[in-house]
Amino acid sequence: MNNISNAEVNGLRPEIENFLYREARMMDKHQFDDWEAMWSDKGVYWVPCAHDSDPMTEVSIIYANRAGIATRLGRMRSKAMYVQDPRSICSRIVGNIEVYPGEDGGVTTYSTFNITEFKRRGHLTHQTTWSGHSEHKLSRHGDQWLMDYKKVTLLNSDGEIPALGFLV
Amino acid sequence: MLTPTQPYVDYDDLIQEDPEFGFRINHHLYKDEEIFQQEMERIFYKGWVYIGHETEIPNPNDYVVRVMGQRPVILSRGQDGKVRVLENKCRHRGNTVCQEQRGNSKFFRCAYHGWVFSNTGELAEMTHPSNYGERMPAEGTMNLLEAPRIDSHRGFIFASLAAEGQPFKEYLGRAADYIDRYCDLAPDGEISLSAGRHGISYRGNWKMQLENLTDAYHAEYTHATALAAFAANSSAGKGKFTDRGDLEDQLSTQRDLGGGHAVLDGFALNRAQGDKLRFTGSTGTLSEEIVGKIAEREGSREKAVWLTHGGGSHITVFPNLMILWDAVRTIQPVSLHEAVIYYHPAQLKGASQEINTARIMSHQAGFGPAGFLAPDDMEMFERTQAGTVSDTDPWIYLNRGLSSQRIEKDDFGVDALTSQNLGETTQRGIWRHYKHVMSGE
Repeated sequence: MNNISNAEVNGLRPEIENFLYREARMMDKHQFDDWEAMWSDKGVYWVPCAHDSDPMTEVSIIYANRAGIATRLGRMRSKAMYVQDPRSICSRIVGNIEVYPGEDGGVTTYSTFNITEFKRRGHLTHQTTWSGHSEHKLSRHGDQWLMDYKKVTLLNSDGEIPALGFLV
Repeated sequence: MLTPTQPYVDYDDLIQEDPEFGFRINHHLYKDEEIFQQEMERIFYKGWVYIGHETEIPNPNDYVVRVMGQRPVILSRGQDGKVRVLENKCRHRGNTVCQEQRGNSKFFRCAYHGWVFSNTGELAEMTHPSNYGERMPAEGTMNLLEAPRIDSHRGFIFASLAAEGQPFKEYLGRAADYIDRYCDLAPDGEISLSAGRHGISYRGNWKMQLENLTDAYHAEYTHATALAAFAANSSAGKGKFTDRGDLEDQLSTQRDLGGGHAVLDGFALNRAQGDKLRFTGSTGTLSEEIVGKIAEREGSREKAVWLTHGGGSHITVFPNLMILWDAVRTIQPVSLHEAVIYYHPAQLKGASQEINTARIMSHQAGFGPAGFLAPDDMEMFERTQAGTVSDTDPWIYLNRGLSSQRIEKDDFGVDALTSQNLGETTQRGIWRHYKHVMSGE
């Protein structure tokens, strides 16, 4: 498929932005089936530890191919994933969205996110902020866009972070 | 019990053994500030503590910053090639002199007033020294403070901030056998911690992780979703352990190695699986590469298979080192009710990149902040900590396996106090040693 032009990217911008906002809502609401449906078969989901690392030679927080994503979601759907029992209540803002022509007619986007997580455990409550940058590679399948690749770099990815039980 | 009017902590009172009630610990051990401060003094500033691995600082001038107890230190390989543990604290006003997590530098310079220290600890340059006049500090008295004792075993570096005390070999004791077998799994006989690290923090006392590693009892419940996920993806690797309800029959055992060290010994379990070579990569095919290389090294395929059978054991080295499966783990106390766990994938020197990548993938599927295993453990630690508020009954009874434990020869032919894997023999061993250290005996 031919690469798209910069002019075409500008025309696509509203629907690409909408894709990212929709993805954010699916993650906030723990709608795992809907989020999974936003992936293509090529899907690679990467949350590195170090900012510039090679996932084949350095440990990552998450590195999953499409099957790995499915396995991860299978666990997340269970009530017995105790780190998410009860589930976190999340609200995230996605912004600073840049959209560029990608490979094979797709687009590459860069965006910034801020998540406020509210967690309840028995009588205790706790509110935390998560922040970072995302890179998406999206491809067009008929009238919909799907994620081929998503890299999420948390601000504190190479530091000491609490258990991360919800989707980023 | 502890009350504000009681000026000292009596560890005999907090950790009790008695024919009537068996073995019990008081939950104040997880929530008392004075106890935490005494742990820093008696365990982390006096005893031997794991500090890092040789492969993290392979070249002259390499360093990593670490924390011993709560004290910031630099693990530095000096210009002279010698490894030292230096306090990360300028001798002038006490500023930290190194701000990066790791790097390569001949010097550490304090930015406040410009004092420069060599990575061997020596004060290399004092700015405007003449202003001290007659009060000029004597030569050699203003070097970075250095841990007086440092030693290593198979690349694992330990240090003690006390000039005198238990000799290193005696401290490491029987843990050495199990560390050896773990390292011998690498074709070159060495592991490497060169593949980065995870850091996960939890709001709970540091000892909860210390007790947890050899606790097979929790796996079936805390880790139900992870075990189900691994079973669904099962390759040759993680077969039997993932069958729910099967744990009672497992051949793995808890062994109290003495000195606070403990192992959840998977040897017999793995041996029972025959030629399914485990824990050397993600699949049996990959493992064959390792076994072949070890067999060549050892001149014996039998010995090579024996080594792979030991590969899954969970080794706890008091007070802060844990080794299992694909990774080396350390506990970092932060405060009374906060700790950090670092996980370093252990790479096998001499193995193909394919195997070492498989080890990274297999490790991160379980561990780190978003692994399938670790987050649920952290959740349990935080819930345990939350429960310590209720003092109505402060006792935790650790009596599992007490009536069935026995002295048994382990696979090195040495006697060890042993119980079936769902016991609490190792937890009792850890607490017995803790009491010994904390009582200053």
